[in-house]
Amino acid sequence: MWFRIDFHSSKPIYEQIKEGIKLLVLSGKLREGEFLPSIRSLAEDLGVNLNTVARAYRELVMEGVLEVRRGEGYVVANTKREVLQSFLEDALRNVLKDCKTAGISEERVIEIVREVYGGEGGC
Amino acid sequence: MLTVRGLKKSYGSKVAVDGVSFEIGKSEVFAILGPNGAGKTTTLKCVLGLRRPDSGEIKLAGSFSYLPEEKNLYPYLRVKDTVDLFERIGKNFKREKAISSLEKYGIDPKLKVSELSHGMKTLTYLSLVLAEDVDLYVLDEPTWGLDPLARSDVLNALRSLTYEGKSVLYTSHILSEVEKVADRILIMKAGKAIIQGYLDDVKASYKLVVSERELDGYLLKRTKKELIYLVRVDRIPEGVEVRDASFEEIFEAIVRGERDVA
Amino acid sequence: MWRKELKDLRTRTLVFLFLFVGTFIFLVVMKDYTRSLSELLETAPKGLLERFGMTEEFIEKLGDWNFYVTTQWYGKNLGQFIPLFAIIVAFPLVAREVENQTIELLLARLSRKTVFFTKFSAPLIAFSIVTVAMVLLPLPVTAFLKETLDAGTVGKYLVTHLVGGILWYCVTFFFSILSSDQVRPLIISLALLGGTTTLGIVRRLSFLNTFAYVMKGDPTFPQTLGYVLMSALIVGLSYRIFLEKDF
Repeated sequence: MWFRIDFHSSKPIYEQIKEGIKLLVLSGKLREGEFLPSIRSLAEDLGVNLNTVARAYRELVMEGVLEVRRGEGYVVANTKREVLQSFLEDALRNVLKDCKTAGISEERVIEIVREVYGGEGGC
Repeated sequence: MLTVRGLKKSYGSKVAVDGVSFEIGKSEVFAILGPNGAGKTTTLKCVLGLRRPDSGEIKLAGSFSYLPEEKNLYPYLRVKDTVDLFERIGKNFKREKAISSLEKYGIDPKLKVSELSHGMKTLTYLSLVLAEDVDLYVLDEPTWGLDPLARSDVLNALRSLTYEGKSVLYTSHILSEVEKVADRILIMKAGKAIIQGYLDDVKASYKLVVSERELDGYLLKRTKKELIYLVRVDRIPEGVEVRDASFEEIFEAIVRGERDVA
Repeated sequence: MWRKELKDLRTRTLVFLFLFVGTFIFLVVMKDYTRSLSELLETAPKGLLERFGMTEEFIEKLGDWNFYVTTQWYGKNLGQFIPLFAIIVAFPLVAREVENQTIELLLARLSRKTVFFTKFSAPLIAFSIVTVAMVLLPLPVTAFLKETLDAGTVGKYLVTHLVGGILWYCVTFFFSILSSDQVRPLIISLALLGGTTTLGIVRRLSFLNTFAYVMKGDPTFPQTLGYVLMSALIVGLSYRIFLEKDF
């Protein structure tokens, strides 16, 4: 399993790992009940420290995204989509706040939303 | 694995280390950062028993290996003789590991150490140190003078050590590298420990704030109209522009240490 | 670590070894030319050579192999170089590693006790072997030339050369531990050697004159014991300092 980690980002690495895993679950690449790689295996693949992966897994367990199966490892839990995608929604909210501050109208924003989602009105 | 409490060391009237405490656990990479003369090397040397601290407690549970800042090997010995020397006096020295590492870096064992460039000397010394099987690796500026590929190799090697349950204590000037490999950091300035903790937490604890008036934070930059501060997340006032701070900005602002307290 | 120490010593020791052996060979070859020395005496201005003790009588005596070896080898060419040899062997032992910052390599892996012991002993043994060899060198040559050499004399010189040399080895080793650059222990020890010898001209302070001790070959008990105790004291002090020193 691999996704890109930006070591120089202000976003902590464990946070990036959490988001990476959430995206995999959201997109269906990781299914409920599927086992995640061991901490060491993921650390090796991503090129990060054990502590970082351990922390990411720990917090995902606390958030209810993962479950620990004693003696076997970490497994994807049955999580509500809202939990998984909340980080993306927060990011969207921040961008929209910046747009609002910059004076971009609500109509324009909705135009763009339709463009991306392939609805009417965009060209 | 290692506990340091209240370490103090002075040379005559000059205080080199002024009450530094930190801990290193297993499978951890711990980096000590700071400007020159901050006391990083003295701290390492006290931990290793090369220098006697004036006060403080140092508890090291386990074996250690050391790569000193100068990375000087015996110039009149050949590389292969140096490998032999390490085999005789090294701690759990794994000869094959050292030899394959030297091969990987293209270091000819027949060469005399005095004939090696600085970078090759560093890689040689590193190969030998990492071939010792110990609990804690103490490295003073391990990537100094190395080309980017070698540096990347070294960082991966350090990380792999922690996969085996070993720990690394090292000093560095290169912040971008520390970001890639350190679990926890200690920033020292003028002998004191100014910031300590998990690197991820340190990065998350500070933001840049653009203000027109003085604030409780570390002043990073002053333009004609604005003051840019590095502020702790729990101290950010209302109605100011907030931006993410890079690790370099955090380091620079804190080490420069210009505090304007509102 | 022993092998490295011995490699370190190699050049210094071999240089002196060749110097000594070369000088001895020269002496052996020159022994028959003592006669021409007396011819030289006739042509030289009167009194000049006598100042240096080069009287007719002296030159006569040189014809005697025993006298020749005693005065020219033990009493001069070997003897005066023994303290110097000791100083040269000892001066860089710790100081050079501190100056080059290679001492950390050893101290991070071996106990201070081991490092001290190896650094002190390996060169000391090398020094002693060379010294003993050079003291005993005339013996087989004597037998070959079918001359005679007083064994008692050789024995006495063995003692003075070893005791005197080892004393200066210990003194220099001490300064090598104290200094952070190589040159200082060399200069301090040489200065001390010169100083004590000069002071030793005064009758009261004659025990300070180690040169005379080495070259006279008369190991009186109090003086010999004094030197040995002094050496032991200095070594003990060196050890204590080495254990506590910051590197």
